[in-house]
Formats: sequence, C-alpha cells, structure tokens
Amino acid sequence: MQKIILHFDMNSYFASVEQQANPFLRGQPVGVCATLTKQGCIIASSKEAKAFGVKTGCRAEEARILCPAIKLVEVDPPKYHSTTQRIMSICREYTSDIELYSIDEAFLNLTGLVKSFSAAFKLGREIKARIRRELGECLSSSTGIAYTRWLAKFGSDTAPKGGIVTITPANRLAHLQGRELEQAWGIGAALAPRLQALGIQTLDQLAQYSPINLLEIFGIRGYELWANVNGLELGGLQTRELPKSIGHSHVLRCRTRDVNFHKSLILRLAERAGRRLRALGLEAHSVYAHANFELLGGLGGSQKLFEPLTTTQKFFRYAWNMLAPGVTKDTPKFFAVGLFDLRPLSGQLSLFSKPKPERLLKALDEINNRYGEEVIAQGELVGLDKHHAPDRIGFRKTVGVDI
Amino acid sequence: MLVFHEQPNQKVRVFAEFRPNPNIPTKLGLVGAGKQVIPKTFFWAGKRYDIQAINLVYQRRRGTKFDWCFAVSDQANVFVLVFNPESLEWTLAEVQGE
Repeated sequence: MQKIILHFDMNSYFASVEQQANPFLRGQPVGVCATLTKQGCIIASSKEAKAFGVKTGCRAEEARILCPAIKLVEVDPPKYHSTTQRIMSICREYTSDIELYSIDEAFLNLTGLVKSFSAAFKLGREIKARIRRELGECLSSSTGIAYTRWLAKFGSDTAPKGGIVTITPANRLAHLQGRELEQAWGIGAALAPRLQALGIQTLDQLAQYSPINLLEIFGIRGYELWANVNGLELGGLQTRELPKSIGHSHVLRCRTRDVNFHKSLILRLAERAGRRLRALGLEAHSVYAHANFELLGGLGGSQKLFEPLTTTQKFFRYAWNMLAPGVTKDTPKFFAVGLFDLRPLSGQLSLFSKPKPERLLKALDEINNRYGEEVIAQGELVGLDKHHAPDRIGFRKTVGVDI
Repeated sequence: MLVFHEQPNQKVRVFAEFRPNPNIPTKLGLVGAGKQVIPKTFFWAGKRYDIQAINLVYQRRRGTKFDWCFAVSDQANVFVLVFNPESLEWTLAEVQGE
C-alpha cells in the first residue's frame, strides 16, 4: 500500500489569527510581539510585514525602523491554542493518526484513507477550504503531500504560500533539482558549508552522493540526510503521550535589583510548571533553571533529584538555589525554569518528607481549577501584577497544552 | 489616526441567537450539541451596539473551565465578548477602535 503523508504549516499563524480576530488589522503589516517593549521580540509577522523585511526574531524597535506603519500586537496564547484545537478537530475528522509537530503545523497519515496522491491532493484542498470556511478567511496554510514524513514537510516548506505541493517517487528528483541545501528540513547554517566542502551544492546532488561516505563523515546523521532526500522513511509519525519537559520562561519587563520581586517571578514560573506537572499526573526527576544577567551573562544549570518532585515549593527551592547567586549580585534580564526526566506519578511514599504539603497542594489545585489561576496562591505572589510572567506561547511545547 | 485599546471587563447585556451549527454534527442525548451561539447585539454604557461580524471564536481557560470568547466587530470598533457558560453571563473584555 502506498504510504501517503500530508503536512500542513499555517502561514504567519499568530499574525493571521490576530488579523482574523481584528478586521482593522487585515491588509496591514502586523507583528505579534512577546512583550510590547522596545526590546520585545517579534514571534510572528504578517505577510504584509514580511514584505518590509520584518521577520521572526526581529526586535520591536528594529521592526518599527523597517516598517514605521507596523501594528504591534501582544501575544495572546489562548487565541492560538484554541484555534489550533479547532484546526485539529477538523483534521481528526479525516484521520486519527496525527502528529502535532508544533502549534501551527501537523502531519496527517492518509495511508489507507486515500488511494492515490491525486485523491490526497483533493483531501488537502478540502481541509484547507474547511479551515478557511469554519475558522476564518485569514487562515491559510502551505501543504506538502509525499510518501515520507520528511518529504511531506519539505513539500510544504517549498510550497508557495497557501499552495499544495505533491512529491511522488516519480517527481522527487525533479523537485529536489537545484534546491539549496539550507531549504531542507534539518540542514542549517552549520551543516551546509560542511556538505558544500564535499562538493554537494544542491539537494539533488546530496541524493546522488554516496551514503557510505556521508555515514563515515557525519555518522548516522549523514545517513539520515541521504535517506531523507531519497525518500526512505526512517521514523514515521511521532506521537508522544507525555511531554519531555515542562518549563516556563520570562523576559523581564523592567530592570530592577529587587530580590523579592525576582523571587516572586521565579515562584510564579515554578507554580505554573508545577500545576502542569500535577495536572498531567507526572513527577519530575530533574530540574533546570537559567537566568541572563546584565553583567554576569548566563547563569544556571540542571540538577538530578534525590527524590521525585511534584510540589511547587520544592521546585522553587531548587530553582532559587541555582539562581540566587546571580540574582543577589546583578540585574537579571531573563528567567527560565523547568522540569524534565518526567515519569508517571509512582505514589511512592517518602521516608524523609511528610505528605502534608502534597495534600495541601492538591486542595489548592482544586480551588484554582474551580475558580481560576492564582485565586489562591503563595504569599509571595500576592501583589505581583499579572503582566509579569504571563502565559506564553511555546512553539514546540504542544504536549499537555490542551490541543 | 487615533487607536485605542481598552479592557473594560464589565458585564453587558447581549442578545444572542441559538441556532444549529452545520459544522458540528448533532449527537443524540447531548443537550446543546450541534448548536451555536451567535451574539447579535449588546448594550454597554447606555448604548446599543449591533454586531456586524463574528470574526473569531476561541476559548479562554479559567481553572479547568473554559469561557467562550467572541471577537466581534461593528462598523467602527472591535470587541471581545466573553461568555461564561456556567453563570451564563457576558462580559465585555476588550474594545479597540480607530
């Protein structure tokens, strides 16, 4: 049976959702910023803004220089989560075998559902049309249809905005012909010069290069590159039930040396991660914390835990111990805390700590579940404005975020 | 061009229509399934606003519950109306205009 994978990538997703929500933004250059400050980073720009050279990662003040008429909008994660959820519910009407690769792109396994690539093309067009009809005319996507996961993604990456590209065994080489190496998924600015040094300038040349040489030079990664461009499926769709890590980060809106304020911020980030951890019924066996400072630069690290962690307070203590040496000496600009090495909750009783905090946390979680986040919270969080460390959007963190 | 963006977060009175949603199949035994809410008009600060378009409908988390947000517009302004399905109350969350 011919394997058929469809990949779609929403175009300028966050900006398109904002344009959909606000008709006065349609046709205008729009930049969606993480924070509406001069140093705020643009995480999505509309096609009109892209025409002025405003790209993802651009600072707000740079964007205003490139395009003085740009409308900057602060990120609104619930809007994008909810829209993605609705897009996925449309996709689930066609197949249950879906890999949600990020908040704005997904792979659909159409094998067995359609008989040919032309039928898959029709289905792709139907899904695109339904998204536009049911969610809004501003939401367009680029779609790739192929017989491997990698080629489907490559197809949508090389498709014109809003278009569909089908890569079959017959037209694969023709589609790779003359394409630059960096157009391929997985070949970045560091790897491309190394391939070029071997005389590989384009993707079709990579497909015809000796896989044994690539294996010797780049290891298994080299073989994977060769197999990908030659249409050999290596992994298939990857669906994860549990997240690899749960973390939250925040770029500070104001520069201050107020240690108590920073403590509250770190606690809020820890609380958010802790709530997600407990909601998923997991325990963490490792933690990480990182901060950037004005003078000291980056500081932080990770730690494997003696006992698994579920409580916010315990997580906060580890994070604070890692970051306190910097926070007390310098002005922080950025905090990131997270939990990894996650496993399902074992329920193992500890010899060394009392179960009371966990029971208390369960009660607190139930109150917050019923009445909203931080209705009841640690004392340090009282008075901390909700604009500090608000909910943020994660591009790849889609497991466990209600999608 | 003057742009304003306010977050009044005030309770408002909304006239809404409940009608079948062709995009959601009706499930037997499920009250409200296959129906959709269409806000038509609302009253805020003593004025009546007729909704011209529902631009985007999305959900916003409140604990484990979700509120329904309707990004709507009339000829001059954009509003976000939030519907709490538990208390059946409407709140005007955002107003934007030029």
